[in-house]
Amino acid sequence: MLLKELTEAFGPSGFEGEVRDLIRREATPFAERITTDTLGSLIVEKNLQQNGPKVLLAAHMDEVSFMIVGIEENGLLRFRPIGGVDPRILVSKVLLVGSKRISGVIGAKAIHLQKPEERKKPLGLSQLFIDIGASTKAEAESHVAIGDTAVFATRYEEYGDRRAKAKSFDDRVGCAILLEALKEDIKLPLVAAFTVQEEIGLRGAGPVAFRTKPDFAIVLEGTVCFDVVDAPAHGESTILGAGPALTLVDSRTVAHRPFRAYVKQVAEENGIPVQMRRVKGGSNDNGIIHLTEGGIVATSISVPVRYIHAPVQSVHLDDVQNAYRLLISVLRGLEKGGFPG
Amino acid sequence: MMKELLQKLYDVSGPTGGEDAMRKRLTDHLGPSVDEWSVDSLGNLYAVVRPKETSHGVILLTAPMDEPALVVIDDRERPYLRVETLGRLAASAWIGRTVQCSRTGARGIIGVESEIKSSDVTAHHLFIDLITDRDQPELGYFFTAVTPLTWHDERYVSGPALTSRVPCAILCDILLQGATSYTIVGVFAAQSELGARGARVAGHSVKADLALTIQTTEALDTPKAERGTVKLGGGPAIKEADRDMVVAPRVRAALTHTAKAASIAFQLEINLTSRSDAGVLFLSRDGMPAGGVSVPVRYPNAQSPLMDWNDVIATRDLFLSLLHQPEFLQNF
Ligand SMILES: [Zn+2]
Repeated sequence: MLLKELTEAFGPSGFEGEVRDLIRREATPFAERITTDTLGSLIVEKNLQQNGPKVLLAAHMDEVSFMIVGIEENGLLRFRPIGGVDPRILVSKVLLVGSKRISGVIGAKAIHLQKPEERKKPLGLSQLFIDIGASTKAEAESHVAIGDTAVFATRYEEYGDRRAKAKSFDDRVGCAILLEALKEDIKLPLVAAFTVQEEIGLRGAGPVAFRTKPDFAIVLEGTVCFDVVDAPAHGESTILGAGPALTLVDSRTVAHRPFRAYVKQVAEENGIPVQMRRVKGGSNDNGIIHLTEGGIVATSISVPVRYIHAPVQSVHLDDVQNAYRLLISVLRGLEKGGFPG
Repeated sequence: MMKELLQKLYDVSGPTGGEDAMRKRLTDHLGPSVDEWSVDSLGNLYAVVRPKETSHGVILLTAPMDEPALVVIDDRERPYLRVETLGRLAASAWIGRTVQCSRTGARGIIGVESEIKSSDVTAHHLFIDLITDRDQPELGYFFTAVTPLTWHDERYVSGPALTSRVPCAILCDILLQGATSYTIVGVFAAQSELGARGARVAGHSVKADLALTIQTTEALDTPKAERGTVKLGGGPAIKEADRDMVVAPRVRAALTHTAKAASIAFQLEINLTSRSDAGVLFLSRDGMPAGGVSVPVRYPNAQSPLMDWNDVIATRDLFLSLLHQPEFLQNF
């Protein structure tokens, strides 16, 4: 799977071009038709003339990121997040900024200069800035402009026991799984959609569902996993390494019970571990897909991601592999009419 | 008649997102009075009553059929089940309630972790004490509050699920009255508690000349309540504006003229903080004429929503009077 190249690509919400180009290049040999829609989502279609239910597979290309909103006289950059980021995790993190991908460090007032009451409170966005090594406003402006975007600079790396870390497993892991699935010979009309602007309100997926009018939709996602310190068992959402997670409810969707039950049954029949996502918070493209037009039967298969929406996210490669196996097994089942709808 | 119907609907559980039992009860009850049934992927139930002769237009009538619910997300501390809340009730409002599983019928009591202040309670502090280890529900099963319908002097009625069951009873009764000169599409809407999700999809599925919601609106006639237009016992509240929409004057006028002609006392619903299913209906497709009539209710977000039965009957009568005017859609 193309995890390294995909997670290291630059894809702020609304600026997914680099990721889209990479996916288009990889998908072209397996596609019958490739379209980029008005918002920028990449729609890869296969087996257009095949009989059987049309299945939409969706993964989002965008990642949590930042936008430059001001340049100070001393060359420091003011910024705002695009998507949900906890400002408390930002200080001292390295970013890639603007079209030249120059390095920047998120800085803040040094601890010895902070007033006692400032030390007690976490640093807010207005106390943080990006330092790109420029000494003046003019120097900074020769490298970046207001409106430029930035992403975490983390490189993909495998470590420990079948673990990998990178900046954007949410949701390049979904993109990687979809790209791999396109190589399989599945006798169904298939739409693999790589959507835009998920992180800022599920904006890209609705027009994709409206355009492609699928019978079923399956969203591939990276989802929250907090099985580490100080979490009550029911607050951990998912467990790393325990298999792909299926959604009961999230903040935008009550899962379609029969379709989820079908996916779970397929997992059991094929000996693929699955877990239920044990939290309501968060959402994914399914939140808009299932409400499109007269309603679409949809489900999600999610890969647990520790430290999601942070500079270094971590996955278990067995979960990635099992999410892929589950997706393919479900498609093989649908091929045989296993879920009539 | 309507009172028995309400009781029948009240006796089944309708958790938001899992309205199966409500759908069954409604189809059983309406049976042959409905010409065509269907269900969509969100769980909306569509009941079409065709006109006697040629149709003078399609009228979509919606009533929410769902109530706030708890969904089981973790069962590793049996017999205590961890839950998330769905719908408008705050997590703290569930504490101490008896709840019932909509699929297995198992009952339990809502407990809360003892170290937490009541103002800080979230769903993560709650659990269902299922008391015994029998009949363990699966993850994803729903529980709703078990509280009997209570009558006060035969005129007032209270109970937590009234905000959906009264609209459903009104819509049922309208459909049972038989054919008019319109094609009536009754939608018992799913997932209304979660932000009009069912209505959004229904608005796309049914191309109607007019959509009207049958819902409830908070009566603001209690001590130190927010200022508002609606009183308990003041009659049907014809929607003029809510948080999601301003009703077109011609739609509102059709309802107010009908009420005046039929000598039905009414009031106007102007509540810019409350939401309804009408807001998504009028934005569906390329725009749909939409409005609504709401039954006044006191304490809609607490344990005992309270209604005046006279308002309920008058709301139904207003709809029946409207639907028995053969020509009103032509003036639109
Ligand atoms: Zn995501």
